Amino acid sequence: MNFLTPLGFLGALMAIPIILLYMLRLRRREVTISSTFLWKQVLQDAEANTPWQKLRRNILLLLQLLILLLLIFALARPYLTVPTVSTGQITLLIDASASMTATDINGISRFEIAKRLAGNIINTLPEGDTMTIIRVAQIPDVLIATSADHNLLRNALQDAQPSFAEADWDASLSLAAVKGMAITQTLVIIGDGGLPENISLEGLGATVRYLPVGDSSENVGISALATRRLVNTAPELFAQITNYGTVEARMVLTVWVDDERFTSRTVQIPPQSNLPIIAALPDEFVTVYATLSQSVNAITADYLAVDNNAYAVSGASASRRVLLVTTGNLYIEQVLRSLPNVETVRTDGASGIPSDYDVYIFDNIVPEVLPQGDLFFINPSINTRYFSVGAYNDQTRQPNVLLPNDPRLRFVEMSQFNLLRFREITNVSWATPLLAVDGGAVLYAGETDGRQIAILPFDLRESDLPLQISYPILMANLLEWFTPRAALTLIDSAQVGDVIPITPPLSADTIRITPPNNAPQISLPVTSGTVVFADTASTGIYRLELLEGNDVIGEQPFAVNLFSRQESIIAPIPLENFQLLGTTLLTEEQEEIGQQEFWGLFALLAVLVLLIEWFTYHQRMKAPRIPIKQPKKAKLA
Amino acid sequence: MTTEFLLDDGIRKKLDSLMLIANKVRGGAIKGERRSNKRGTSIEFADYRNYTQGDDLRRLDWNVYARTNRPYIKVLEDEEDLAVHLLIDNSASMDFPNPKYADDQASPAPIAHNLNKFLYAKRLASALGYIALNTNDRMSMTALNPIGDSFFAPARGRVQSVRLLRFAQSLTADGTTDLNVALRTYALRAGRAGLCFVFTDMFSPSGYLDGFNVLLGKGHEVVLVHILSPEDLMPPMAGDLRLVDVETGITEEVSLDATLRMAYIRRVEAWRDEIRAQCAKRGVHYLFISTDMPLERVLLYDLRKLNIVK
Repeated sequence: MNFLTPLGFLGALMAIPIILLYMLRLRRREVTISSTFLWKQVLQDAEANTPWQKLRRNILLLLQLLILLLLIFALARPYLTVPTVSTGQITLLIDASASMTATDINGISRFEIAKRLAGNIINTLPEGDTMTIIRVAQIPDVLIATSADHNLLRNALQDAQPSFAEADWDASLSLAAVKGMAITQTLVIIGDGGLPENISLEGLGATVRYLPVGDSSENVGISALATRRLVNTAPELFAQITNYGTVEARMVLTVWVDDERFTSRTVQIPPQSNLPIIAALPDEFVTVYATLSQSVNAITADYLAVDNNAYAVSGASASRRVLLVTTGNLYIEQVLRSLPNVETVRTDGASGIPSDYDVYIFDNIVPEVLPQGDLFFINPSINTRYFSVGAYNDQTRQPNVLLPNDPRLRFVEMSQFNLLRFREITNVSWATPLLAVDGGAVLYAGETDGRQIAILPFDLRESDLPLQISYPILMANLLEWFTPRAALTLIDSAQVGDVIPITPPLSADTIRITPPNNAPQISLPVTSGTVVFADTASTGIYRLELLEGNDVIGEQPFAVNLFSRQESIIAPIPLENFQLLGTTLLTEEQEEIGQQEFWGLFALLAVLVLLIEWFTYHQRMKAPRIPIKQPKKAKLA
Repeated sequence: MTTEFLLDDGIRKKLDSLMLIANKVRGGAIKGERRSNKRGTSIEFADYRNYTQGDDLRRLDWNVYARTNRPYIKVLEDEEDLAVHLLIDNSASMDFPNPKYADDQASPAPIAHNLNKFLYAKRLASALGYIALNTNDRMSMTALNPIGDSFFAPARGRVQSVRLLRFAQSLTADGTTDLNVALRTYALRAGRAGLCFVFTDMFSPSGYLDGFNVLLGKGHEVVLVHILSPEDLMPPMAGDLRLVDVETGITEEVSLDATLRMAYIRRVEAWRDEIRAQCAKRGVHYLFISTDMPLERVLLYDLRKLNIVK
């Protein structure tokens, strides 16, 4: 046994004041009693029968000196030399990717095992050696930088949790290089080896020690889950289950639609293969949740739980569907193609007008029967039940914007607008004229009969409007008015850790997001056109609400899943297959000498003896309580 | 000063029906209310004996003479009184527990005034004196340590009870009492042998046997009433102490812990057993009393059990 701070033994000098204080303290209290006659006999008997009686009198002093001795030993910091993994200036990277949540080692997660291994290195870290701990997750996290304090290192490690996302090893190694490599001698990597190939630490010159964690590759997970909504067909669910293990798996897939159990089926997946599943969904739904569990008679293991759950939402609100009825108009087609989240279908209307579209744009065509939905007439030639078409008017000078503050005319500038002629529109009292020339209004928009209708009463090819900068703006504004965009533009679900851009409507001032698992709601103020949400650390359904003041003006759920093949393949990479280019890999285990301190044991013993001393003192000082009986009247008379 | 403090009305009413019994002592001086083993002039028939010359013819049983033609004299029982001696040890050790000696640090329980040994002794002696006066016995009360007025002269009759109670009330405890000397002195001074109660805590370093022997030798029937307080039985102290004997001033240093306390408790029990054995050997009645025992229980149960009171 050696001591790190032998000067601590100087604390033995404290014994002198303790003994002095004890001697001064022992002034006996005088108590007058009836007679010392019996006490004298008792004391004679006691000293005759127990020769160590005098020792007993001083038991408190002895205990106090023992406490001092133990504290001195603790202060001197005794240690034993023990073999350890690494010493010196260490940067420790602990893998916190989703695969580290696998419980293939006696039901304990790989991350916990990794923490224990790291704890062992900390415990044997020699005096003066430092350690930097980096948690390798999607965003690398420096838990503690260049510290020699074992307690701080242990505390930093204790609070670390695994993530449910892929780990960004590239960024983590770069961070390690920045944080500690200037002085680092050894890079210790604890994980299951899921490093991307060809990562290089060329020029760093550090030696690397890799401590593999995990011993099984058995895992079955949901590798894809999506919903699809096609025109005139029931929505469909697409799921893919992948067996990453080495034996055939027998699992039960359960699908929940809007929090109600929808279907459940047993599936068998051969090793290293996928099983696609397609199922019809109800017409109306919002969320889908699929979970994979082991069947009752399963003999194979499934060690990673995080990829057994997958989530999806109805894709209906993702994009706006527009039907363009035209015989051909490049100006309109191009502008619709350029608008985001607009799904345009073109038809000439000869074989009828299909239904189920959000907006119908009629270019120089007016059908006999108007479809259900919002309507946008461009140069209508005949009357409809909503308006009457008059003769051409060629008084087209002095174009002006009638309602500059109207959202449909936001950023629209029409001073350079030239027009050959336009049709006069009448019987449109429900509509608001938005643009006008000196001959009359050339753009109407309004709401009637439960639908939104806009009329542009001229042929675009007879004007220079398509050449104006304001043209795509005007078209975008009108489409936004017809069908507001979804705030989210996710085509499929997001990955864990993804940054999600949210484009709220202009009227929204706050975005409120409710994460899964009853986590607290997150409110994001809308300060610009796009708000970024990055707190997607958990898988599940996130519920997004758009607020205007306290009113909810729109809501949209979105799903966050793991869906990472890299994380679902949990087979640990053994030491002999581990590669990190540009470094020297140390392969011998525990070849260095560390220092195992055990001052805590002495401190603990000191506390125990202190408790004994306290107990002894109180036992000695405790006087028995004499029950005082109140004289009762005897019933013996 | 009122006499109510020692004996209240309730107790006195119960005492009215009681009587002291002496099993060994006889020889009353005057007529009393208890049967004597002497033949006398009461109305209680005892025996017949042959007539001898000089007998009082009034006591000849004429009926028997008529039937048998032989003269028989009727022998009648005599009635006599009893001498009752009440000796109270009024040394300083009896004046315990007392708030003036209280050790605040060691005794968490408040000291109850009615646990005082001397007060208890005075109350018990007064009660027995009251019984004696009530049954027309000859009663005297003496404090063994002569401080001030320490002797209540022999008296007889219920009318003396108030004076007795006032006397008992006025007694104080102080100084030391050598039990041997005090008892011997009293035995030599006391006139008639009788029922002799000694109320003491027995904290007499010089012993007690000689004193009791002298009393017994003088023909007294002795009742030792051994009074201790709960504090004497189980000391409510702990820690490093210097114990001071209130009578002698002798000190003993003790580090009082649970073990030593147990040793003391065992020692007290052994001491009591020793006294009880010595008393049994000499035919002395031994009555142990802890001052937390109700007085009525002692009077109506414990003394009856010893056949001292009926």
